[in-house]
Amino acid sequence: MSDKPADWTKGVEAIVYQSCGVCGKPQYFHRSFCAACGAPEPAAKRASGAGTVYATSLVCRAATPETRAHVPYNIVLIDTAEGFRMMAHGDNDLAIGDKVTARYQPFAGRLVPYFAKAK
Amino acid sequence: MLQMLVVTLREGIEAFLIVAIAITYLRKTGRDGLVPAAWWGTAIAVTLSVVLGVFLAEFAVLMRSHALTHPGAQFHEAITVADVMASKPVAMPLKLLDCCPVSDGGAAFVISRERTGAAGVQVRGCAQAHTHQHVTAAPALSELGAEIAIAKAKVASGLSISDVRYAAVYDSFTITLAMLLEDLGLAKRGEAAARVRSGHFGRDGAMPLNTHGGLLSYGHCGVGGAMAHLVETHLQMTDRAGSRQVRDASIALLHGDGGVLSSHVSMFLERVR
Repeated sequence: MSDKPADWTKGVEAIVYQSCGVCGKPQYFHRSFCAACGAPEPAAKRASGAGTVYATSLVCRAATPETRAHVPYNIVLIDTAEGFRMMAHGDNDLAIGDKVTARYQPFAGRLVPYFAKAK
Repeated sequence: MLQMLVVTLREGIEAFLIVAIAITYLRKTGRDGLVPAAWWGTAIAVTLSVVLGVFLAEFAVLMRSHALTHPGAQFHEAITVADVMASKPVAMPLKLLDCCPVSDGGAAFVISRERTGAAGVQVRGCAQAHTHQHVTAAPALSELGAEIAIAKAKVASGLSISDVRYAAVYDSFTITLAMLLEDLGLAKRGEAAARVRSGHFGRDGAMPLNTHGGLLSYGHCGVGGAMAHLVETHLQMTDRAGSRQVRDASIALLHGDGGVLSSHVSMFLERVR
């Protein structure tokens, strides 16, 4: 697992995924091999931030003291334009099927991807 | 409570505005004939969201009614569908009583080669399926691991769902139980809640389910929480369940689920004398 470019997990405004050079399948969780076909060294790529809402759930109970100031907040699953699915934050009024784009904002002291309806 | 009211008020105003805009648009563009359709759509949407909540609530009420009869259960206060619906929101549409509690406790069983009582329990067939870890990597809803595990377990045991007399199914949330009952074939798609309401899964029903109260009401102390399903199954199969004893637990189906519908184990157990 070589040279993963910095992404939101390191405080950088980017969503990074991997794309298999052999079968072409995208994957969000970084591995040293393609989870679909097993080929080594999938290429790291930066996602556009565009996607479609697959699921949404409004969290009303804070999981930790740090998240108390944020409730209620929406947790969404996004089917990205690049073809992988990711979990993220989003506007509370998002509905399944909405076209969305990502921005980044702080949540409980960290930077997280945050999706809102595409303009 | 205040927070719930604020959310409801805000979302309610937003929904009202959307409906008002849709109807104004129809009127302004001279399509008044479609206005009733907009109202019907609104009414159906409101009904569906309430119906989903009530359907899920049925599972919480059933597990609580079973827990009332178990001295070791964490909760001994009866609840109604209205109580579940009125409990505070956790992660919508799940409310507090749709969720299993965090429990202290444990469970144990001893496995022996030699039978220790008049009746013994043996594993007739068992199978597993592990499709993903994180929910973003889950397969489509119709291809979850429960269906794979139960299909393999049926082959391994030579049994079918119609042979089963007692069911022990993982119930971390009401939605988990609803989905698993339907994936396993213990209810048809969309019919699990109706089966609960008709008494099908009660102690005296055709398919007694989690008669100790399940994770939802007996309690969930991690691995021990799921082991309690097996302990109760063993008590039922060996006629030692006391006031909770079902008519016939000669063949039981046990299903466990780990992660977020990630790891599944289906097991058919058979009583031998």
